[in-house]
Amino acid sequence: MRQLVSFVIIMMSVAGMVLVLVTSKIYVDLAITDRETALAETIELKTQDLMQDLERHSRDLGITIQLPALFREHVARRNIDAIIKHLDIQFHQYFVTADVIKLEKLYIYDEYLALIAESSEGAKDIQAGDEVCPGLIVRAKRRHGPRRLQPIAEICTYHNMPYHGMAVPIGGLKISGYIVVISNPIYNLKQLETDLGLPIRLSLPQGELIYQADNWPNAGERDTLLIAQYLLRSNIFEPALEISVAHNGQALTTELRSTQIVVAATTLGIMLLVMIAAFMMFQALWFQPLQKLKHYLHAIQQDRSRLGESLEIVGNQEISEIAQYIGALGKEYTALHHSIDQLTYTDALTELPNRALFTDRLQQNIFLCERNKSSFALMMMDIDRFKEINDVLGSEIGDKLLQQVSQRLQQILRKSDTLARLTDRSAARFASDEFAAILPATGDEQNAITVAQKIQRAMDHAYTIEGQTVNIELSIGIAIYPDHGNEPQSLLQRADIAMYQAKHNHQGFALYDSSHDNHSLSQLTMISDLRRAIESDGLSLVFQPKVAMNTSQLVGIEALVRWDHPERGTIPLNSFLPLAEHTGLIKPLTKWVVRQTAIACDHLHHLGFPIHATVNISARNLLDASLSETVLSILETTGLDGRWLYLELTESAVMSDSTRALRTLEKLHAAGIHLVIDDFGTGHSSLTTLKKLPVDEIKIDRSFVLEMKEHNNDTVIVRSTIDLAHNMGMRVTAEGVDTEEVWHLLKLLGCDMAQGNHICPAITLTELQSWIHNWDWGCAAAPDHDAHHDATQHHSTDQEAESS
Amino acid sequence: MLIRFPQLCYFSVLCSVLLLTTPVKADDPAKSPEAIPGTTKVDAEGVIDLVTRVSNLVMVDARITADRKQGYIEGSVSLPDIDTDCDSLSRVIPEKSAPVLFYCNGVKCGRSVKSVRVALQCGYNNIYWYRGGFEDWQNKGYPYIKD
Repeated sequence: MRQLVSFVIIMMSVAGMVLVLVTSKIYVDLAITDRETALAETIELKTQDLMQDLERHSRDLGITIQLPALFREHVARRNIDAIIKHLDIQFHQYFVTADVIKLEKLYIYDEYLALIAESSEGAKDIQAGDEVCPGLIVRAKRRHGPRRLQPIAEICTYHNMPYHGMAVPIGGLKISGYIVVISNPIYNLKQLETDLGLPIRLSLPQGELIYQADNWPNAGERDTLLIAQYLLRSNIFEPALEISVAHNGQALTTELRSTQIVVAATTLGIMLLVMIAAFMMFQALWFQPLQKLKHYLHAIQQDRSRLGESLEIVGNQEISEIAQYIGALGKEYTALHHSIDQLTYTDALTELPNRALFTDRLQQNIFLCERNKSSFALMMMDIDRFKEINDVLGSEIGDKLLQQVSQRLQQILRKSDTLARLTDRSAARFASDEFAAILPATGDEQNAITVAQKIQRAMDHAYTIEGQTVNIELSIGIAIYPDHGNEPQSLLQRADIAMYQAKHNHQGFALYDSSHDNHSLSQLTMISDLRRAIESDGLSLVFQPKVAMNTSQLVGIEALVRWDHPERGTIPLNSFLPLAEHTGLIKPLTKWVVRQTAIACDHLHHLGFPIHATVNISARNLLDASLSETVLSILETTGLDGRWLYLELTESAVMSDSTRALRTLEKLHAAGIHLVIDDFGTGHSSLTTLKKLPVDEIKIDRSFVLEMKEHNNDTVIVRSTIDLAHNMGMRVTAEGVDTEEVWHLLKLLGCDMAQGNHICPAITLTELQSWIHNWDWGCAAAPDHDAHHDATQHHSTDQEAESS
Repeated sequence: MLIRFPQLCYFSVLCSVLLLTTPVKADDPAKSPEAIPGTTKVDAEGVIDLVTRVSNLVMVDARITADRKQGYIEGSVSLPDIDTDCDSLSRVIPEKSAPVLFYCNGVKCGRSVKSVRVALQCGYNNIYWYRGGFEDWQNKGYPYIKD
């Protein structure tokens, strides 16, 4: 733009300059023409003056000649000789001798203008008897009245020479004739030279040169000359003589040229001033503000943090306004940027740094300590059973708890420490109960432990949220840089392992110990393997038959999940079940088991064995509000009737959140599903709660059954349990029936059903099918639906009637 | 009260000046009047016409002799205004009704005016007055003669 404006200004200036030069050239030419015209007018006036003088002198001579009365008498008498003599005398009289006129010839005419006599003296070129100006006589003859008394003059040409003729009447009022005075006008016109001070040149209209001044310029000098011309005409307006005057135009031309240069220089100066002024104006009003704006925008592009800076632009109003708009937009954008930063790097709930920012800070601390050869501690903290708190008390209270925990943590930690809630922006909707802290000044293990203990103490005080008192425990894992790792990922992982260690051992806090590493790592690997196994049917089910004690008929099977790891072999349920519960894999795992069990049960029904199938449900499953929908949906897809499905759950699972569990269980029970309390007697059962629950069956824990024979107390417990269950309208199953003695004992005690190695261990579906065929205790193979019914009929309850 | 002689003379001169200048002032001190009642004003051509047509015309040159020596219109008689009265007029003009023309040097010359007025007073009744006078005559290039 600067170049364009400069170009336009320069072009305008150049155009102005050209205009001025052209105009000045035109004015110079006009001035020269004017000077020539003025000179021509001067010549004309001067020539007319000289010609009038000549006329007057000629007339005076004519009058003087006729003054003597004697001469007049000679004329009247036509005394020719006397007349000629008198005329000749005139060539030596005053007018001629004083160079007033150059007399060339004198003629005398009669009153009718017929020639009478002529002077014998005069110009030699004029032939005797010739009339030099015959035209003059003709004109004189044409006059009438008083005008004939007037003198008459004319310029005439004779033998290529101009002459001036003047006819003067002889006599007074009575004319006796005319005197014609012929003189040389050149002689008088030469006076122009003296009067004007300039060389003159006289020529005939045909171009023949008559007179030229000695100082008439040469042809070479003519370029700088002004030649003014005047055409002298006769009385009848015929061109008679061309008068040229040469004027040295050098001075004029020089003067004009110098004026032209002065004008051009002045114009150039003014143009330059105007250009500079225009540039300065544009610079001040446009370029500088634009430049400033450009630099501002460039600076912003380089460093976004400068976006909010205010920009003051003085100059053009529009640009100032644009700057203001940009400033306003910048401020808006900065605010937006800030909020995006907030959203990206902080946890909205606690306003603590999130995982992304924390990882970055961790890296920064590593760089810093690497340079300073110093150390720092990394803490990972996790609220024990937070998911339960969240699920039970609601996410709103869970969120408030997290806020309060973060506040307490901040109070304990120093300002130089970095506390973060490990949330991922992409998973912001999942409530994370994980906190992490970098403690740069807490380099050694002992200090880190001291801080961890302080935190633990701080957590001892209960939290009060919306009137509810919540007690929590925090598991803290500590890793030290550089002892336990020198990069963010490994440090985080090791602090995490330490945290799990603390959680596992209920220590509150734990320092990373490399000996736990392999175990922890194998756990982590196992989690991903388990997920893969669930997704790709890498698990299998085994079934343990359940038989009615009075008839020894097969009434049901309990499905048990088995994980045959491709590398580690069969992994016991006790090893991966807690893992599944802790990681949330329990939900897909249960779903898988329920589906596979339902398929197997349906398969057995088609084979003609109307037995039910029992699936174990974790306490975690009960917290899942969608459990009932999941199970019912499976039943619908597999086509199995709900009454064939038994769900087993432990006492503690039901008791922990009885209200919610009750709601879920009621939904399931309403669909015909039977509910079984597993491991009865080991937990803290509330009989009131138990009464409210839609439980159909109780399973006596194997620990009581196994040692029933040795410990009488256990027998008492078993008996009491059986009685209690029967009194509450429930059936009882004994687990762990491994010997015939136990079988008989239980039968005596009135136990309804039994399962255990004495009957059959847990076997695959294929094995189960052959086992059923071979089972002969109570003709179990009889594919009679009623058989099952009969087996349990003496425990008939309303619920049972429903299920039948 | 005695009036002394020099004072009387001064008073007389003053009165004369006043009396003489008054009429001239009424017309124009520098120029002749445009017309004189009782006379016929003519120009140069009128003069020539009169000369040609009226044979008994008397042309009176009212200038003083010194002026007349520069040239005069042919046929005119010299009678300077200062010499003009009824008596001198009667010598050049045969009778009161005879045509008579007066001229002097020109429009700035008062002599012909004066002579005309005298002639009118004397009872001449066919008076022509050439107001342009000799200056106009010369300027128009009409012939004149010198003695």
